[in-house]
Amino acid sequence: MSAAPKFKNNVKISERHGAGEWKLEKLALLALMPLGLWVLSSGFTLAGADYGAVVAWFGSTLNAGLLAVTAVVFCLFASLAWKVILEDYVPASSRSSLILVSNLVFLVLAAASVFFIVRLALGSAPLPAGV
Amino acid sequence: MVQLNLPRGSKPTTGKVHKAPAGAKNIKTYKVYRYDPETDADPRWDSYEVSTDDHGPMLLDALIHIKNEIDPTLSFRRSCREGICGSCSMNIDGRNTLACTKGWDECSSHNITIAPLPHQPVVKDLVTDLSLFYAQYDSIQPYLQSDTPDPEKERLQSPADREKLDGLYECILCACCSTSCPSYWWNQEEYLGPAALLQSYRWISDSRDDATQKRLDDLEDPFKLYRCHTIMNCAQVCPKGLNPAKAIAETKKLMVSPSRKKTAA
Repeated sequence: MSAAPKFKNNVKISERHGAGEWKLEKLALLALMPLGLWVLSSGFTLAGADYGAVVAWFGSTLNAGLLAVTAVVFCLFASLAWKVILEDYVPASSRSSLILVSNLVFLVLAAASVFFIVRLALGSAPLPAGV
Repeated sequence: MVQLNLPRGSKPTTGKVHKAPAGAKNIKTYKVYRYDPETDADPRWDSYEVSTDDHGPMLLDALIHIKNEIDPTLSFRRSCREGICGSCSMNIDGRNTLACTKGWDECSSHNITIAPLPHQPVVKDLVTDLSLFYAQYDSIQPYLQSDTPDPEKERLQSPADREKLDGLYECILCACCSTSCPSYWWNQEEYLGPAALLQSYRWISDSRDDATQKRLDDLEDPFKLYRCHTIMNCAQVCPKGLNPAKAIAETKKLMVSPSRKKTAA
């Protein structure tokens, strides 16, 4: 939870941070441009392919690695974007807790994405036996 | 903070209609926002049918004509009549601008809507309370801060350095930009707004000023600076043709430049 903002003459006193997050958001966006195009082109290539061909595609370390990086960067970017939306529109009283929930959701999504990509890359079924 | 339910005094009703005299030609209808928070339960739209033959070419001329000849209770700010003082900023036909530089013939509709600057407390009719706007301007310390002693004459600046201030120093603080910005609407308690940030960058860019890093420190904040989402309303409505969004983008770039050095808190 962040501390309550301080004010002087009704104007907020700087928290002296924010530039790093802004830079991270821009870098994630820059990375997502080529990665997104690659994911789209791969999707078109694999469209209509049978299960074996798709699993073989995942079996390539380059493909699996790039897809995992895309998923993680996408989740990072989405969490930063949601934080901005929540900061814009949600009252300060409930803002921090909603941002925490949003970050957790994207953390779980990123972890799950990497988990399934790794399993497919290793030639396993997407879900462990019995699930 | 965004509000989904409008507070008291936010929903205008239909007000009086002041008809034009019989036989008047070239009639325009000015639909003017009227509200006195001390006496009125709700604001209203009063309509004034006015012959454009009776007043000058600008919207401010029309307002002065209405106040002098039709309804002396109408309140609005005005001073220089030539786009220098920024007093007569208001929302005309849904767009913030200066009434003194906006011609009535520039408005496409026969009915011209005139309202106060959006999302500001209304003092009366078209007069808004800009106390917070001025406090935000004051907070960016809009004056030269130098580490060197005062010279005998002026502080010199190369023509190239002086050119960097073009497009920044011309701001007249009319508040058209800040009050057109949705981010400022939702978070003006914490976001400085385009006008204050443009002026801050004006001093950051000044080669004679030595407080650049301190000024950047004072701006580095998720709300004070980073609520700008490059919506660009500020640049669209600025009556002086300035681009506050660009100044804010340049400030953001300086925040992460290798030359940035945070000062002690």
